[in-house]
Parts: sequence; structure tokens; C-alpha cells
Amino acid sequence: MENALRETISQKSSLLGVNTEDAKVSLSYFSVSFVSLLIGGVLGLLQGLERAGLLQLPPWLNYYQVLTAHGILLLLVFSTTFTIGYQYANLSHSFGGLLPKVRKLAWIGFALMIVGTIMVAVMIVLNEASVLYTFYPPLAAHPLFYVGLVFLVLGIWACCFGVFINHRHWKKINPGQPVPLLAFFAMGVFVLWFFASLGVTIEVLTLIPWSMGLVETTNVMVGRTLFWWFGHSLVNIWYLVAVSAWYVIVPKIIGGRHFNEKLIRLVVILLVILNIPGGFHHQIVDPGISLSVKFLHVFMSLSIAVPSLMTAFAMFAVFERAGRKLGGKGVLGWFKKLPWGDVRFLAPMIAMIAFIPGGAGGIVNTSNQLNQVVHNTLWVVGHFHVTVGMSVVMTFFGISYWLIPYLSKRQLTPKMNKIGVIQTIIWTIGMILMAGSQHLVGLLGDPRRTSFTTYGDHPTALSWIPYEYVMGIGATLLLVGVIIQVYAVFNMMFFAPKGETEYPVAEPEDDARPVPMWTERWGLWIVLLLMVVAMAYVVPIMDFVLHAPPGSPPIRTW
Amino acid sequence: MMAERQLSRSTQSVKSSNAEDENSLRGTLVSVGVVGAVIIIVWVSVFWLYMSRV
Repeated sequence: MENALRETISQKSSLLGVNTEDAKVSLSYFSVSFVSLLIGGVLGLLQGLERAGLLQLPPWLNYYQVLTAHGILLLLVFSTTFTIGYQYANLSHSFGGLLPKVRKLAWIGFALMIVGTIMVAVMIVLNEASVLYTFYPPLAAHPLFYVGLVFLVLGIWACCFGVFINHRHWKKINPGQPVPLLAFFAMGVFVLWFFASLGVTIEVLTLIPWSMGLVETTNVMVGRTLFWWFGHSLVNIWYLVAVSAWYVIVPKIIGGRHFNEKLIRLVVILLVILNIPGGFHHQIVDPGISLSVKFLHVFMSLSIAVPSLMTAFAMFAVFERAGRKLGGKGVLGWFKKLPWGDVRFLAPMIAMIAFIPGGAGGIVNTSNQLNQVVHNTLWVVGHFHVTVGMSVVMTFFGISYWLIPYLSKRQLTPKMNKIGVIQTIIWTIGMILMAGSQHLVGLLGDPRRTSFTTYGDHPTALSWIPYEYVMGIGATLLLVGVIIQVYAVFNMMFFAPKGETEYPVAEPEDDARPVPMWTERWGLWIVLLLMVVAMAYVVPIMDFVLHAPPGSPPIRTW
Repeated sequence: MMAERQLSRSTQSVKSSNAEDENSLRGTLVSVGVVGAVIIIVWVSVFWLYMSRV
């Protein structure tokens, strides 16, 4: 009976899909996403070569301008638009289509983000906003840069509300039913995004009058703290998006089943609740923050390791079961049986493997004494290139090879799969060379956020140069990877042969237990989230305000 | 008869060992062990650098 029911559900779910109108939404977001990747990638190479002393930028283009544009285009625009395109496709697929008003909200969000991105980009190009992608004070940009950021956040909020409305509607017409797993992930992503963006919104709204000269000074400590409230969480928003594909999509591609749904949902809930209060591990050497508050944030940052280690265990178990079914023997024989020639698996699999050193590096960053070894060095740049550039972005690339042809009603051809495999290998080698050398040279003290200099030919600075050359070689390979990826995406969007492509959503194991309904209590998870945010931020922010350091006027260093 | 019973027993034992092999998570145990080892090695290495510099 249970099996029959499962089959019926499975047949029913195979009827679902992304309709043409919803597909247009996702494809539009993906177009912006991959154009941003191309521009951001070119700027990344310029930056890498300049930082290695191999290229001198023309007088009209400075290193910090390039650094700001590279960071904002890739970390904000590329990741945000890809996430929305992918999550909205998942939502449409899970719910059998988006509500018309939700689709409208997605378009409003799209328009707001385009306007915001153009404003931000123009200000950077005009050299009015070389404030780095972290844009916190005392560096001050042109007011329109901050207004552009407000538009970006409003766009994200429009998409958040769209997800909440569609989720509520589905629950109303399906009483007592658990939402499909991909939609559960979407709720997690957008709940976290909404609350994470509150911090940066308050920051940016205070910076607008400051940059316009209406207010003379700003509280730098509050500004930095509100930025990292958002910045720290943003990393984990991308991570949660990648994890949704690891848990739900990858098992189907390898011919397996997804892991226990209770564990998966618990991982989502933990990532949403525990995430925001880790911001101070980015400010761990800042003065003016009490040791106990820093310790609390270190503890909360490390708590993210719990759902991450649960994920490591679950994914290895999924791979081992699938590999053994395919005939894998011995302790690790199953590893060889996995479909390494399938780019839809290869890219996210390397992404997952990269998260092992990435996560270990994260634990180093958040440990007080160890942070003093790596703080503000190229180690940190290497760390976020491994975590974001590999664990997150390679998962996104893997998704693009099935989702884009699915949405454009085209096929992933064997030739395109081969191109994807080559792209994945080039990207992996590029990242290992670039991020690997950044890690090593960071341990030797090479600073981040600094253009090329030999510090008057100081022997220590000269010893960094070979590592910086390797960094430049890695950056070159990465741009090759970007070009192939962008070609692949637009080929699959407009030129690949017409046909059907699978939307690979894994089924539960045959003996899976029913989904626990307590996991659906989003109201409770949000209350818990707000409680831990209050626990972590109320006391220090009150302290910064009541015992404020001298306010800073807007500073322009370029 | 006796031989048939023995054959059936050995087939059952092969089947059960195959089934056991299919459900085995020994590789997962080893893999998460490797993850733990990477975390410890990286942490201890950087901590050693810290201690050598203070």
C-alpha cells in the first residue's frame, strides 16, 4: 500500500514542473547572473595580475575600484540572482507553479535589482565608490552607491515575500501535508535572507545622510557590526542554497535516494537559527568589544560546524549506498562507481570535497588565537575563494547544466556535458592554484586589500612574490573557466537542441518514516532566530551607542 | 538432501553477506574520519604557527 502510494505521489510529482511563465523569471535572473560572472571574472583576472606585479593598471582604473567591482558583482549580484533563479524554479516545480502575484513580485524584485546594480556599477566606474565590497565606514562612497544598495535589498525582500506568500498559500490548500523538501529549503533560504539583510539595511540607511553631508559623523563600530551581521549570514545563505542541491538533487543524479528527511530538515532549521550571531568572528581583533561577547560569537560561529558535519556524514552515506548498489566493494570501492563523467555530479561533488578544507579554514578563522595569525592576510581571501568560489559556485555551475536546458526546453547534449567536465577541471585547477597560494602566502603575512607593493624591497615582501605569481596563473585559468561556463549557459539557453531534460529530484528511501510535522513550525524557528540574534547583538550594540567612540567623518582614500 | 541443505545455507550466507555489504557504511565512517583529521591537522598547524610567533 505504502509503495503504491509512493508511486502515485511520484507520478504526481513528475507532472509538476516549471511552467513557461515561471521559466522566464528564472532564465532572466540567470542571464543577469552569468553576465555579472563574466564581467566580475575579467575584473578578477586584472586584480590577480596586478596583485602579482605582472600588470600595471591604467591611470583611469585603480586597484581598489577593480576590487570593489569584482566583489560586488560576484559576491552580491551573481550569487543573489543565481539563488533567486534557482530557488524560484524549485518553488515552481514543488508547488506546481507560482501564484501570479508571486511571479509579479519576482519581476518587481528583478527590476529593483537591475536598477540597484546599475547605480552601484556606475558609481564604481566613475571612481566614486572604491570602498571595497564590504563598504562599511569610515570609507565613504557617493550617496547613489548606497541608494543602489537599497534597491538591491528591496529586490531581495520582494522575492522573500513572494516565497512566504506562495508557501502560506500551499499550506492552506494542502492542510496537514509537509511541504516538498526543495520548497522547505527555499523557506529556509529566504527566512535567513530577510533577517540577515535587516542589519545591512539599517547600516546603509544611516550611511546615506552621512555620505550626503547631512550628518557629520557616523559610529564606525555600529556600522561594521551591522555589516557583518549581514556579511557572515550571507556566506551561509549561499551555503544553504548549495546544500539544497547536495541533499536533494545530487542523490537523484547518482541513482540513489535522499538521506533521512528529518535530518535534512533539522540541518536547515539549525542553519537558519544559529547563523546570524557569528558576525564578530570577522571583528575578532577589533577593540571595544568585550571578551565575553567575542567568545559568544566564536561559539555561535563554531556551532555551524554541527549541521555541516551532519551534512558530511549524510552525503557520504548517500554516496556509499548508491556506489555499493552499483557494485562497489570494500571500504572505499563505492567511490569509484560514482558517475564522475557526468558534470551534473562532478561539479557539485568537487564543491563538496572543497568544503572539507574550506570548513577547516573557517574553524581556524573563528578561533581567537589562530585568527591573529591569518587576520587581514591573503589566507582569508583564499578561504572565501575555496568556500564560495568552489563549494558554492561549483554547485551553482553543476545546477546550471540541468536546470537551464530544463527551463529553455532544450537538452544537455553529451558534447555539452564534456565541455562542462573540462570547465570543471579547469576551474578546479585554477582555484587550487590561486586559493592554495593565497592560503600559504597569507600564513607568511601577505596582506589582503592591498595593491602590489614590495614595501621598499623588504626581503619578507619579496619572498611573497613567487606565491603571487602562482595566484596570477590560477586567476588566468579561472577566467578561462568563466568564459567556458558563460558560453555553456547561453548555449543551453538559446542554441542547444530542443528536447526534454530531467528535473532531478531524489525520492526518499523505501523504508523512510513520515516527515515530522514539527519541522514545519516556521513561526517558532523565527522566534528562536530572533532570540539568538538579540542574545548576540543587543548588549554590544547598546554598548557601542552608549559608550560611542568619536564619530568618523566620511573618508575618501582614493 | 544433506548436500542440498548445506548448499542452501551457503547461498543464504552469501546473500546475507551481499546484503550486509550493500548496507555497510564502513566507507562513510572512514570518510568522516578523514574530514575530522583534516580539521585537526589544519587547526593544530596554524596554532603551532601562532605559538611559534608569540
